[in-house]
Parts: sequence; C-alpha cells; structure tokens
Amino acid sequence: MSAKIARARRSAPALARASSSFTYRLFKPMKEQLKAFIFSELIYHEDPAAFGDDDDLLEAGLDSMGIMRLIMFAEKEFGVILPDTEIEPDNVQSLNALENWIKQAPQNA
Amino acid sequence: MSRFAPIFFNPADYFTYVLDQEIRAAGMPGGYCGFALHLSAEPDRDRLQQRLDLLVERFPIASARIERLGKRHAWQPTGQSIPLELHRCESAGDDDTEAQGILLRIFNRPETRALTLHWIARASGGILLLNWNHPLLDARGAKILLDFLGSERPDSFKESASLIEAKLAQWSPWRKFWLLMKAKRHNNQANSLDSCLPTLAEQGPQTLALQVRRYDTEQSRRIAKLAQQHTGMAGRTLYYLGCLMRAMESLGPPAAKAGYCIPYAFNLRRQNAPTPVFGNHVGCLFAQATREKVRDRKALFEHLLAQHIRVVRDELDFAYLPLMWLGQWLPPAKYAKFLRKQHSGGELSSLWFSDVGDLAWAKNGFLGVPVTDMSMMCWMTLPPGLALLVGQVNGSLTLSYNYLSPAVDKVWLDALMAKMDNELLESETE
Repeated sequence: MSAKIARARRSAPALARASSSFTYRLFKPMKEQLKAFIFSELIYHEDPAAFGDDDDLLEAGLDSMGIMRLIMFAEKEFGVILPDTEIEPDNVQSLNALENWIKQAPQNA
Repeated sequence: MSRFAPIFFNPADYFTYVLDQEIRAAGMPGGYCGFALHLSAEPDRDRLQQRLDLLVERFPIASARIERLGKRHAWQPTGQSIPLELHRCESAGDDDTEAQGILLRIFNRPETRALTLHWIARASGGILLLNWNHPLLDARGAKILLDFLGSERPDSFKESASLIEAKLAQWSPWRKFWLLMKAKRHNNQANSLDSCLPTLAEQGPQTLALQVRRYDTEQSRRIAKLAQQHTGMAGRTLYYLGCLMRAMESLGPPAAKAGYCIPYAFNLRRQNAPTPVFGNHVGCLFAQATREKVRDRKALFEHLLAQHIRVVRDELDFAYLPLMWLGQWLPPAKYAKFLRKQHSGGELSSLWFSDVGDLAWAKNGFLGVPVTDMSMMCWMTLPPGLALLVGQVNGSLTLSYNYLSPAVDKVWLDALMAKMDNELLESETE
C-alpha cells in the first residue's frame, strides 16, 4: 500500500469526525448553539444541561455586557440584525424568548 | 511546579500595579482596597484562622510579595501565615463612628503585606475587613476569596489561568494589532475632552476618608426601577454614572473644565464563576460626556447608553486588552502618564468608580453568621482624589464615597452626596 493511501486511511476517521462536527454545527438547533455560547462564555452554571428553555437568563446572571455579547454572537452566527432599540427583557429573558426574537429579525444582507 | 514558584503579573495586574506605584509616589500607602462586611455576630475566629491557613496552603499567592524578575514583575509566595487581626470598639455609645474610625485607621496605616484580614468587634456583632493590594486580585476575586473563607466546602474552590491571556491567545497577531489601533484611537478621543475634577489639589499629604450612604430596600428598588427606565438593559452602572455626573455639574466641580470622564471596569469572568480567584481579570470602559450634555438628564442617559452600546459593538472593550498587554513592557511612570494624562496635561478620570453589583451570600451567611451590611474602600491617585464604590447587599444599595482629605473638601462632598440622592431617586430634578 502506498504511503499516500495509508495516510489517507489514517486521516479518514479524523476527517469524518471533523466533517460530522461541521455538519452538526451547521444543523445544530439554534437554542443549543445559544445555550452553548451562554454557558461557555457568559454565565457559570453547575449543570447547564438542566437549564430549561423557559428558565430566566437574567436571574441566572446574564448582565448588560453579557446581553451585548450575546446579541453580537447571534447576529454573526445567524446572519440577522437585532436592533439596539429592541434590547429589552421580553426578548432576552429566556432561550425561547431569544429564539423567537432572532427568528423574527431581518436578515443581514 | 514548586508551591513557591513565582506567579507573573498578567496585563491587568501590571495596570493596577502602575497605579499602585503612582499612589505610593504621592506619599500614600498604595493601591489598597477593602471590603468591610458587617456581621450580626462574631464568627468562629479559630475556624476563620484555619481557613486563612488553608487559603495560603491552597493558593500560595495569597501570601506573597512583589518581585521584579527581568523585565517583568511577579508575585513571589513567602509561605507566611496570614493572622486574623483583632480590634475592638471600646465606647459604650455610638460604636458606628468608632468602628468606622478603626476601619480607616487600618486602611491609612503603611502596609507591606498584600492581603490582611481584620475582625473589628462591636457591642453587637462586628465588621470583617478584607484589605488587599489591587495587583493581587480584583473586586470579584475578593468576593470569591470571602466565599472561600466562609464556605462549608472550601475544597470546591479551584484556581484557573489569566482570562486576559486566554482571550489574547484566541486572536491572531493581525487581529491583536487591529484592536490595538482601535484602542489607541479611542484613548486619544477620550483625552481630547478635558475632564472636570473634584479638587484643584495635586499634591500634599493626604489621608483617606470615607462617607457611606445606604438606601433602604424601598429606595433601592426605586433606584433600580429608574435605572431600568433610563438606561434599560445596559444595567444600573450607567445610571449611577449619569447621576454622579449630574450631581457634580449641578454643584459645580472645583476644577471646572469641558466634560466628565469616568472609567469603569468590566469583568472577563463568567457571571457567578467561582474562578479565577486571584489576579485581575478586568477590562476598562469610559463613560464620557460634555458638561452641556450632562445638564440635560434625558439626553445624558440616551447618550451614555448609546456610547456604551457603540463601544461594545465596535469591540472597544476588548480592544483595551492588547493595549494592556503592550503596556506591560513600559516602565510604570511612562505607562501611568499614558493612562492618566490628557493632551492638555490634566487628569483623565473625573473620579474612580466601581460597581460590584448584588453581593449574595450563602443562606447561612458568612461561616454561619448573617451578613447585614457592607462598605468598600480604595485608595486612588490625586487627582482625582475621589472614588465611588457601589454595591448591594440584601436588597440594600450602598454607596461608599472614598476621598482624600484635605484635597477634597468635606463640605463639598456632603453637598455632592445630597445632590446624588436627588438624582438617583429623581426627586427635585428638572
């Protein structure tokens, strides 16, 4: 077997994992992506998996800086425009509220 | 790695060290800060001393001195224990005044240790004072440290690496350079509006004085509601800053110039994260407005909110991090000049400010003793000679006005506090 084919065979599983990961990220539900960002960057929580979609993010510790960073993440990740004038508790209070707000937001052309 | 291996400053540690050196050069003890927790009873002092011993064992940096190693500075652990220092109010009468006097006596004395802990016993309960040198840790870290000392599970506390360095490592050299240029432009802009100051004095022997204003839960709720109305989701900090600018303007600042500039910090830790404990993990933002803007209450809050949102959207908050990284390589005096001096030669900061937010304690308080109140202290450079430290405990807002005396006139400060009351509560305003 040539060295080239051997290298390709060794790297195939890694490629498959990377491809699968990319695909997963591409099709990962919005709320999961938001949740992953929130609990890795903005709020410490002992058990993020247990945090419900209607649980209060503001009570959990999401502060003003966190809200801005979350909005910037959502705009970049989902290609939308979230106007500053719409930054209010109703739109950021929970994962469900966030998802609704993002889905209704205009696309960033 | 040896427990006594040196721990190098991160960029924000060095930033605070530079200001510490400025304070010392002016004849004051240095960049020390204090949290004073009012407890309803005396905690178990033996248990507290054991916790201090555990602190030094688990986090050797807690008992360290600053050393210069090559071009950099580092904390060199000494292994020395930190004794709980005991003080007692003697008067049978008003021991509030006496307790504060003891607090200030501790804070004003020359200090060589980076961290000390004091119990000031009163007729009933007392005050636990944590006094620390700012290059060692930031205010959030001080809270985590107090949580460690008072926790039922101190073993659950772990240390982690510098968040500033972690953030810098995420960026390519080009991105860091781009952000650096943005920060430099932003800094230049901030320096072009001369800042009003609370004193004309720039030198002379000073002592640190303290005035504390506490709001009851009803007043605190009203202030929070007004903050929500005026500065919305940007948080209460901008509301406090705007009210303070207006209070100074309506009274007339002793050093009257073109506008107001108040730096405020943002924390890189995740909210509620129990780590990192030590080190400074903060960046810097500026709230700035012309005197004309300050006179119009509605326009001021709109301006401060828009300014804050623009700064975050333009990544000017993160842009400060590469600037701090670069600053590490400057000698303290040169770096301090860059941080403090405006184009006109005046001081950039109208005053120092910090908002630690709502401080929550475990259900059983601190080592089983309820926390009833708090105040906060810090030294600052002259100018500005005034720092406002804000926090909330048990739903009650506390404003700790720290000022250098005689540089800041007490009569002027008393009037400022009254104006600030009116602004915060929106009473007697235009």
